[in-house]
Amino acid sequence: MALGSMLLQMKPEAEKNLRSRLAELPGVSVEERTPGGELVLVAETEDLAALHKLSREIEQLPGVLGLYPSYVTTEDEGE
Amino acid sequence: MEFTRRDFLKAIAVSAAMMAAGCGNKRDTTKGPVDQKDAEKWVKGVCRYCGTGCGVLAGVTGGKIVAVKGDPDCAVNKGRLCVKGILLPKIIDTPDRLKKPLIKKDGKFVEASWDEAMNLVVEKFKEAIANYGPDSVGFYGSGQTFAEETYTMQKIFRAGIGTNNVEGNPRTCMASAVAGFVTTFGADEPMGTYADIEAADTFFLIGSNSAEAHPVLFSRIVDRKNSDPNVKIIVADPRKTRTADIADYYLPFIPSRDLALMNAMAYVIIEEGLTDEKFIADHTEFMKGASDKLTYEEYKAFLQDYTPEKVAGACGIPAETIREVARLFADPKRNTMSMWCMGFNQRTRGVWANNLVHNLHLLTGKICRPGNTPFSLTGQPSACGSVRETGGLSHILPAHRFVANEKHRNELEEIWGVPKGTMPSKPGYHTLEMFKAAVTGDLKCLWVMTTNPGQSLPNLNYYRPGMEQVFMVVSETYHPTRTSELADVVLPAALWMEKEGVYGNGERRTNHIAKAVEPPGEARSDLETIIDFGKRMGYEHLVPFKTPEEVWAEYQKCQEGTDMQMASYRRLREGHGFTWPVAPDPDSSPETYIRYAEGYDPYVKEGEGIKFYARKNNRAVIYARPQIDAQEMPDAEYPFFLTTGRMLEHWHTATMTGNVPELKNAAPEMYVEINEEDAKRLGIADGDLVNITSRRATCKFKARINGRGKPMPGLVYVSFHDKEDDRLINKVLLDAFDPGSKQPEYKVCAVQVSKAS
Ligand code: SF4
Repeated sequence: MALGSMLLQMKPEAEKNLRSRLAELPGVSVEERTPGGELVLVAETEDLAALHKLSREIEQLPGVLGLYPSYVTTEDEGE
Repeated sequence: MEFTRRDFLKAIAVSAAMMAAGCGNKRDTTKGPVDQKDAEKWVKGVCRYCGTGCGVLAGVTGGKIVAVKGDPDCAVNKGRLCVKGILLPKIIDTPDRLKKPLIKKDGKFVEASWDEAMNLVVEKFKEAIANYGPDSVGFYGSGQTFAEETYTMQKIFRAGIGTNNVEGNPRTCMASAVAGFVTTFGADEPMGTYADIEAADTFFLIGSNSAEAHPVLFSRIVDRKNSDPNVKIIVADPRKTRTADIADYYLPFIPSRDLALMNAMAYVIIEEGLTDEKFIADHTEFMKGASDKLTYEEYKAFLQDYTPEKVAGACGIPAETIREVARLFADPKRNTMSMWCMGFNQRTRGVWANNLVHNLHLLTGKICRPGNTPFSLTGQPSACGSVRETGGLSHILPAHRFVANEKHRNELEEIWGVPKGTMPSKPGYHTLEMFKAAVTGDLKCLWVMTTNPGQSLPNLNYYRPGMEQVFMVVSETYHPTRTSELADVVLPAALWMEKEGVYGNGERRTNHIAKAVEPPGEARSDLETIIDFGKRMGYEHLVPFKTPEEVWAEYQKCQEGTDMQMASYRRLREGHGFTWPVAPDPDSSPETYIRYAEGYDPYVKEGEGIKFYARKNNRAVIYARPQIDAQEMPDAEYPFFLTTGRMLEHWHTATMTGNVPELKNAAPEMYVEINEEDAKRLGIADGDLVNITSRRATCKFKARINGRGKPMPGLVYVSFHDKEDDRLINKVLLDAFDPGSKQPEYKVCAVQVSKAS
């Protein structure tokens, strides 16, 4: 399993639509909204490659300005 | 309720993200790395990649770096990283990691002992110096070495061998910014820091795709914009990049016509009375060349050729838009920060482009106050700290001194304990000259360290045979690279947190990297190799160092009495980076936010206000610099502009990022971006194979239409990260260079575009 948290920066007007798009992605949860208007996401995937692929998908959603990983672990992948 | 290991990891993940968002608890930031429980120990360092200089913490378990996170106490990134940073552990244990020295024998590399390899290096260097003189050898270093490494190597070359043939790859990325700062303000490096981002209302981003090349800085700009609807962003770039997604004004100017654009902005600022006349009168003077003074009136007369209406057609920007952005830039109620990068610097008139953006700040007095600064972004993690500051280019000496200045040379000779007159007064070869001398046979031995000119020089087909011909030593972490394959000796180098040292980023921040793990096999730190070389060459007296800290202590002596005193090693070890000057006491004085300004800069006394003290008359220069086009503009035969640059996932020649599967898979090969209209006209569809041909070479790429970057009509774009022969785009580029900075023009040349059969 790979688990990572990321900060998602977006155009403010895109938030509503983005939240619903994110809700459709398996393994992704919106954990917090920072006072600066960024979303804290946690994503869980089978492995790191899948986590990265998922991040790329999120990055390309309309209204996303940047996605910044804050923490990644593959602890129980036995790497 | 059960709290599983997964819940625990998730909690850590969320708290790391909150910390990166600036929502962590207040901590004493001088107390070293945060306490983390998910690795045996966490060691403080700096990201290995871009000039942003993000602080990182490396999690070590079982003698290996198993994780990296952003250092929440580092002012640069406050815990945030981009995708490259978080995947740093993957650059260490790679299949191409070099673990033993290699010597080329009969065209094949064979493993050798360090003794054998170093003896050969020293024999060849001594032989060349004896037969052809000291200028027959050269060093080509990098903005990725540690400061201690370049400092020591340039000392050996200058005070030992007796040549200024000490160069480095910052010549190819930052030299025009250096010359811009020096000609306008008398000294290199910006007056502002990244902290200006949070105080700026208007951002003028030109020749910079920070969304991909400096992602964490971009995130700070986005935060600033999202926090205040009054913040406005101007992005000027012939290629619409992801940076332009946040632009209020996007200016796709015709490549190389930004000189006219900025002169037109200056014209509007003066015409509409948006200048700060008191600032101009008190702190500036006008010039048109290195010594030709102008009056303010003569400067105004010069600008008559650059009314927005006159330049609109040539720039490709409507006159009214030029007027609007000039007004926004100069609005007295707003703070304005300009940022630029390679789009400005890698040009035959890169120095002038730098002068012209400084002009805009000087005319409006938007400088040396929070949120008001011109700011040059750097490409490499330590182009400033390890090259511009240590004397790592052929015309400069440590602590912003100049080779051509006798007093400067004498000061160093005294510190180094060598007789007056030891150091040669003639600047050495600049980068393209050095590699040309390898082609012509004038250069006999070349030592390349932590860089990959076999892939990164322009017009490669001309320079690569020279690299093959010269006796070339390559200090590298990985093998083969497009340079090490041409070497005679390859020396295995410890990487990043396998050694201790200091990096200096683009905002004058000096930060310390601790050793976290042992290098593999027989790889060793470049400093160790350099000291070994110095001793074997017979310059034991020049390298009395046992540790990087001892090198730093001597380097600090070179800084005394200059404008760039830095923090002591003790503070660097304990802290999270300090923006110099740290004076008068490197062991206790605070860092400096704004240079040249009273209340911030320790060298400006009370009552002096703003003082550009690096110039004799304390005045910065507003230059009359005319529009001059790039050397090779499109014509009937080669009708397209070609420009090159970087993408988020990869870094430079991808020797590191190409080893990270997640990054490699995300962008396995480079492609050519073509404007939709041009593609249609040429019958090219997305994914088609396309020839890009210049007067020098042809490369083949898949076409990308409406991808993450959208070039303006008539322009094609390729990232330079690909090492495959067919896609080695630098073969196609022109090796023209700026006459002042000697920086090559990577950003503009003329090409043909055709569908490949
Ligand atoms: S922005 Fe630059 S310094 Fe920061 S993590 Fe990314 S590559 Fe490293």
